Amino acid sequence: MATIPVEEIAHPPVVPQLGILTHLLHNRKFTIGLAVILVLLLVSLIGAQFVDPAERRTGAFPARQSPSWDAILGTTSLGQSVAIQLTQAIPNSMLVGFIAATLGTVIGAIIGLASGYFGGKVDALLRILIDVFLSVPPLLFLILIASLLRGVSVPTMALIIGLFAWAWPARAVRSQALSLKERQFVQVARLSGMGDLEIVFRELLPHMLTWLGANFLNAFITAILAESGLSILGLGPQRDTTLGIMLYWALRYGSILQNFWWWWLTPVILLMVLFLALYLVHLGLDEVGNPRLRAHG
Amino acid sequence: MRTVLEVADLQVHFETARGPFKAVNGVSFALHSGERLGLIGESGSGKSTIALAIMRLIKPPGYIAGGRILLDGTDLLQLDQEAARTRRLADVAMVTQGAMNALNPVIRVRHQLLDGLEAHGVHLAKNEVDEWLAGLLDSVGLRPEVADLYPHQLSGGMKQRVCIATAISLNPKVIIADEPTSALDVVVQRRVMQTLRKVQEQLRAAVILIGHDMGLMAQFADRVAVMRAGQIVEIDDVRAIFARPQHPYTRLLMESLPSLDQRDSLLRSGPIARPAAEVPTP
Ligand SMILES: Nc1ncnc2c1ncn2[C@@H]1O[C@H](COP(=O)(O)OP(=O)(O)O)[C@@H](O)[C@H]1O
Ligand SMILES: [Mg+2]
Repeated sequence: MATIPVEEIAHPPVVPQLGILTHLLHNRKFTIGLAVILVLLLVSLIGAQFVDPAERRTGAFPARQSPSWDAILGTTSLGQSVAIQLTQAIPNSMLVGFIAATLGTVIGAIIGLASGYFGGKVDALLRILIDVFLSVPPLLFLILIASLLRGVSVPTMALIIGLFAWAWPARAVRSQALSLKERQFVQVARLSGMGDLEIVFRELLPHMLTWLGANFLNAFITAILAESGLSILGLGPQRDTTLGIMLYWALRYGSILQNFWWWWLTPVILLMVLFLALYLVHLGLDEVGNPRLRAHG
Repeated sequence: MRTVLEVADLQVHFETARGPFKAVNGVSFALHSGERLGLIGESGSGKSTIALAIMRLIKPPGYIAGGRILLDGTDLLQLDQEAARTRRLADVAMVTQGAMNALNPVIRVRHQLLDGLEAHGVHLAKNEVDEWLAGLLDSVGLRPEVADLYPHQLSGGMKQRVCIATAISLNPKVIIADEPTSALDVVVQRRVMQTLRKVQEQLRAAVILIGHDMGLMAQFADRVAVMRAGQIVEIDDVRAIFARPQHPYTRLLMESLPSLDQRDSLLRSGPIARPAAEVPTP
């Protein structure tokens, strides 16, 4: 029997690679960003446990106090503690971002993959849908919907924003799928008896995970921004507290003109910290995303 | 000798603006179990199209216009999509040309090998996986560590070995190798062919080797079919074809090779060839 020569086998560059998670956890930008987000979330959730429900009522504190030991971030014109409001506003704003970004990314990925991979009539139909959603200004529709639905809740708000967040990723995923499906490894997968769904999820999707992760983070930021914008316009979930709703009340009571800086500045700073943290996670993901770059870097 | 695969009067056409183009125009041949059949012919003569027809992967504008492809008596052309899908890899496996791009760049070798299995409902227990992978990789001359690498960490030859490993992972009856070494340099080419031959003998699978390199064919094939413009113009024992090419086109192909004497020694002593006694005499 023919024996196999060993030269080629003797010196393969066998450098087993670490998993992507290990790489992410070694990336400073990713870990710092993620840590900030988790700390904000945990501090808020744990802090909320120590708040007496009576302290949440309007008038629970003397109104318009600058930061002091009793209310470390001051109080509002309605006699609420800004710090206590934050314990609800931060998790709620993150919830809006998370639900909307998940919805937009998952729906976008599914529609984009179906459209790009299957082509034909499916593609023709989905493309029209994508184009329609891309051409309407989402803010206009959000304003319209939010004003039609009087008194939205936090999850409803997230749902509405999410429904306008899928078209862009769908278009990008579609064009990636279009080019990927012509690559030879897809034909090889077919030759190996893999079905369409297996090919879509096992051969194509892994190429897009980094991109989808980045899109998720972008959508997260955009959704929090959209929620704040709508809330400032008075179309937010006014029975709940979000960072946007805090700003709405602060502006409504003229906190800027009257120089109650702690009231309006606190949600603004937290929004900025949140965006910065999400952006750092995004940068870290980008650096780690490409296995080729990792191998040589 | 038992026949595993029989192709009868196969017609594959491509719809074009000027009417159907007959890429495969009435091809018939039989493949015996364990046999190595060479399919040779100039580029565009329809070799890959035959292979894809056997795999049931002719896509529009192409269509199968007629004929039968019997695998152990079952006409593959009559199977529904799902039945045809499960036949791939399990019964007929194909190694493609262009080894450099055949593997998914973001998936480790381990999963490329296991995905084929899972597509056929074969799920190995966790503790069996590593052993199975190591055995499979060993049979194509790769070390077990290769399982955890990404394709860009492999040389061209190693990639093609992974492709061969995929092809044999479910013990197919027939392996089609479509110019499996065309992207590789000569030395690596030879080793990959040796590997292909070794696994073929171990599995007792029949092989259709597609190529245009007469030298490589001479060293690998038992029989050779010569294709031209969608038809087989000559099919015969490899020694007979080399000694007495019947068709003018075959003679033309031969002229690219060394003299008759050298051809004969090529047949007998090529590194891939079996000892002369085992090459059937005409
Ligand atoms: N998708 C296609 N559309 C039109 N013609 C095609 C298509 N694919 C292959 N052909 C034609 O079929 C013929 C046979 O091609 P192929 O089987 O790839 O040849 P070979 O593998 O022998 O080089 C060629 O003339 C080619 O132009
Ligand atoms: Mg070809």
